[in-house]
Amino acid sequence: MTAQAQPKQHKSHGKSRIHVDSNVDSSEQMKLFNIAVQMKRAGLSELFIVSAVRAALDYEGVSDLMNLWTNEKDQNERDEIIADIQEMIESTAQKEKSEEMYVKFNDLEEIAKNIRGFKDSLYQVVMERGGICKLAELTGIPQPSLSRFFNSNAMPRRATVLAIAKALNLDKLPIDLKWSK
Amino acid sequence: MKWHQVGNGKVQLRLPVGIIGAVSYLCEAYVKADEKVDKRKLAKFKVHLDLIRQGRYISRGELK
Repeated sequence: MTAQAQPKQHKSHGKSRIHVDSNVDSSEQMKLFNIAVQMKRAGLSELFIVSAVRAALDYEGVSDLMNLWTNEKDQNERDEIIADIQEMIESTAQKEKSEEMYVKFNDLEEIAKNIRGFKDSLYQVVMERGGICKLAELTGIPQPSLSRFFNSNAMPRRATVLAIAKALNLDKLPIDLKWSK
Repeated sequence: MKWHQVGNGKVQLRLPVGIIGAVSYLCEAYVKADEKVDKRKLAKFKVHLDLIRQGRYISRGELK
């Protein structure tokens, strides 16, 4: 792969239905749809699967991840791939460039502490409301993505935080959203 | 791709760099734990490059 690689033509951005007029050839499309069926059998939500296929039709990297998932035997690695696909679904939802706060190296520890505190308190609420499995059902976000969300100190995406807040009916979140992305 | 050995050299920190036009974009760095991680991160990097070309990304500053 080089920086000169041509991106797939992006035709579906903003549309609400899966389209199959992608420049992905039909055999590749069939492969993706077969993987989608396997994902359904594996218990992943329809929202996730549809979003994944839609992104894979437009982005070769997502298609690569779906192929890695179907060829992988190790369940932990499969879960990591699912979490990566979810991250890419969220990334491809961004419609334009955004300038976010520059993070200084010396501030990293404080920010990580802030994020950790937020995630720990949110995790308590999640546990009180039925746990990660229940949250996965309510949000459509795969369980491995939610586990990665709560286990890492990475900046949360606003869309993820808001989806969780909506699912849990939280009207107030104790986080400074400038630390989200 | 730029990479750096950390500590005694057993840990390899990798930084995918996308060069588009005259600008170099530093993407998400990661620790190369094994080949599987590398494949996943490269797939994500492909998506990041496409999004950068489309002008749909988060910028957190410039190095000049």
